[in-house]
Amino acid sequence: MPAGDAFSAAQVEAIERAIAHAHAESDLTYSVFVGAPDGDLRDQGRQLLGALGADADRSVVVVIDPAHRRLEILTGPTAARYLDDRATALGAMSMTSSFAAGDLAGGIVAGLHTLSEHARHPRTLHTNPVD
Amino acid sequence: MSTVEILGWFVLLPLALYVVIGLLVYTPSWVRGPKYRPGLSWWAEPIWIGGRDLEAAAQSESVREGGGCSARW
Repeated sequence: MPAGDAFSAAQVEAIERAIAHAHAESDLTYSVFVGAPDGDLRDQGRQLLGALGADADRSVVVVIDPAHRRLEILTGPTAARYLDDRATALGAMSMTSSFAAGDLAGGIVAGLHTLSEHARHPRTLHTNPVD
Repeated sequence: MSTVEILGWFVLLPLALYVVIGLLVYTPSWVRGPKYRPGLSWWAEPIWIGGRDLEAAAQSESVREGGGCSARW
């Protein structure tokens, strides 16, 4: 991979669409970090989760280190109620199978789709804010 | 055959073919964008899609996650 951007504009757009779709489907907030972390990958994920502030509670952060071929999925406390560890592992499997074939953007889109499918839950008036 | 014709057939035509074939070969990868090759080093700038400003995030406090998983490929 040459120096520069990880994804083309079209790939970023596809991932952003997948994030928006996942949010609409599951009412959780998704974000994807791709890059070489400064330290431990999970610690990087925790810091990114912290950077989300109040949104961290209902957030899912996907941290991908292509150089070391590692992936972490972190869920906020409320997000973890709808997306258990088994479901995140299924999402990770969707991603890594595409990553191994060299399709980074496609794997992210597929993984987000898997995650949001498992996180889908009915909206309840007493816990969800009225739009 | 004049000098111009010779140049056209033996220099310009091969050059034009070279350019056309080159475009046909490289255009699909230009359109698709950068290709990730597992196992090779990664030089791209970090990106956080759907997140916040990465520089500000580097200063933020870590938060304990509710769950999640790790994976390798």
